[in-house]
Amino acid sequence: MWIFSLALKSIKNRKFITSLTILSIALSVGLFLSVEQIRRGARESFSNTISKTDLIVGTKGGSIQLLLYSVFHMGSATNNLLYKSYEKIKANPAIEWTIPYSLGDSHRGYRVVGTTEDFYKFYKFRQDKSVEFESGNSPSGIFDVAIGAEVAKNLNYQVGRKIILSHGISEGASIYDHGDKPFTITGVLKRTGTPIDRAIYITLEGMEAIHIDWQNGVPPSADEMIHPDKIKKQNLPIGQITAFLVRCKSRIEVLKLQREIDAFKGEPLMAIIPGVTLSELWRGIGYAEEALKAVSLLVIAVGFLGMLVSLYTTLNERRREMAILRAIGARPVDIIALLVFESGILSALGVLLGVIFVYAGLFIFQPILENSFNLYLPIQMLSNVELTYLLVIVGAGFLIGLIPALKAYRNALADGLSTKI
Amino acid sequence: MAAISIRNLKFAYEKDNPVLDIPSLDISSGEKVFLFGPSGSGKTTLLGLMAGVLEGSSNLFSGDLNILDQNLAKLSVSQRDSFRGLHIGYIFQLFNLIPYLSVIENICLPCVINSKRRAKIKCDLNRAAEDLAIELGLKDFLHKPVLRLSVGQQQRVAVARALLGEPEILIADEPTSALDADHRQKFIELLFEQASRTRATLIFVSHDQSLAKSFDRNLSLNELNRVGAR
Ligand SMILES: Nc1ncnc2c1ncn2[C@@H]1O[C@H](COP(=O)(O)OP(=O)(O)OP(=O)(O)O)[C@@H](O)[C@H]1O
Ligand SMILES: [Mg+2]
Repeated sequence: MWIFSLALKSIKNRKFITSLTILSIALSVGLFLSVEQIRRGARESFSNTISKTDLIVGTKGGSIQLLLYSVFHMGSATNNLLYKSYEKIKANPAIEWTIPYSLGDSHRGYRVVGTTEDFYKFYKFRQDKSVEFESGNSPSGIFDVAIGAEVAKNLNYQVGRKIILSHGISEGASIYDHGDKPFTITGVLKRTGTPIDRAIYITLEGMEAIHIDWQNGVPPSADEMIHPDKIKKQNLPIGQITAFLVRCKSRIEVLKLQREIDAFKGEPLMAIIPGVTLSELWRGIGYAEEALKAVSLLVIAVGFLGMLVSLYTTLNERRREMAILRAIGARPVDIIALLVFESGILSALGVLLGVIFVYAGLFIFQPILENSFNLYLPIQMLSNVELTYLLVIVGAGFLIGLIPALKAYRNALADGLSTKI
Repeated sequence: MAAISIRNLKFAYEKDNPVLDIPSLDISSGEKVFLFGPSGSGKTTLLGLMAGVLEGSSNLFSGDLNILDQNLAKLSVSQRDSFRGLHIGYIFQLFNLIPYLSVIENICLPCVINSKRRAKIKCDLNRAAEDLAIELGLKDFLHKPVLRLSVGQQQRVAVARALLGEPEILIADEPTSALDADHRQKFIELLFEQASRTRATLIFVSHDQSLAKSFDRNLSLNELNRVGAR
């Protein structure tokens, strides 16, 4: 394949301009792929996080906000709902199970979730997977805690260790610690690939207990403080929770139950269907995604335009080269092939480098994205859609080479062996 | 055997503006021909026709043009290209070389492009190219980028490339116009020597009449060409 090796040598000869061309294509392809990867990663991890839940109930407000803080532990609730309301709704015979969540505290940036045994029993993610324990078991005592796999790994915690929870949700050190009421880790959950990995689970009673002696959101002074030994599960009434998940016995009941909850008398409540709200979320993000995608495709086009310009402008100085090739027996189509190969090689190298950029970027930014945005991007093979896009991009690179190639072809035919330039 | 035989050749780049009209020209095999004529008289055009590079489309081209007893008009475009690659070595006035290839790669290129020409070389292609280059005094430049060479050295590389694979016809279009008198003489001697060794027919174009005497035959294009006479 002499044309191919000639094209390679010609590219190598113009190192500076060709590496700029390759870089610009690589960056644009990298941008495009990152958008795709983040989009895909976000969608997959979001829709895999919750299954088999028909309704999520919280106080009235934004439905997307409710979905985000209850299931994905992003943002926070504005209001809690009364435990009494929860018990009243739970009594509805249409309901198969419920999982209450009480939120608002954290430990070194990881959200603390107060819940009941029902969470370990009923919660489903990735279709039909249940929460399982890597070691230990579910918290039963007031000051027992189970931690997600990511928490255990990052903080290097094991069963038996005592930890102190912080009031409020903050990344670093919190202003207020629940230092007076330490918790003991009784269980470490298996990795789920969902926000569960980054959460810490205590009992609803535990959540009540650490705030029992607080007044108006301020911790107790030393003499007002109630010693943990004095708090007993039996005489600890649960006042509020933040949200709860509902599974109906039959799908037909869901809409009816949703209407009932939306019209609940005791306090303003709201029930959302996770799938519906998720697609609402996608629709909202969808425009941004499409815009980003369009921008990255435009950037690719700009990269190609750069290549076209750099190939086209060299054509005049390469007229002699083409005349020489013709004189020693190259066909006009060989001239076309040479230039098409050149642009094809440039775009293939650009795409390859772009893919390398993306994987390097994933590798570097995965922990950052995970910690700062709770977005876990798996490092996985390119999807068929992405591969198709890349093939189309390389193909377009070859096609674009046809423009200077046809020009060179016409030059070569017109010039023959005359070498005026 | 006639290397080149022309009858009633007419050629024009544009309609109604003929460049060549040659009633008859025969060049026999092994002859060393000096072709001269003023600038613009059509020398390069004639060489382009002989090499089969110029498109002989019907209304601009007529007559018979036989190279090595092959009527070029009867060949398809790509057949003409491979015919040229196999049987003709071509040397330009200047800048004969592909700038991004080394000396040895330039010399080998015609044999890389044309597999039949490659097949004529019985030993290793690189060996043959090196031997030839050394014979032409290019020993120290074999793997250098061609742009580092002087013009005289570049022209010698061009000779080596034209000769490798021993084509029957060597065409040189003013190959010495950029050389000084001393180098010009040496270059021509070298070309003669190699042409004799491979028994190639040499067609050498120049408007420098002082070179003419060492050739077997001198051809004035203006005398051959009826367009010029008018
Ligand atoms: N590609 C072309 N298209 C149109 N006309 C051309 C082309 N090449 C040459 N001509 C014209 O044909 C005529 C002969 O040109 P040619 O290059 O054959 O002359 P030449 O004898 O080789 O001249 P020189 O000694 O200057 O190289 C000129 O009038 C020139 O203008
Ligand atoms: Mg000329």
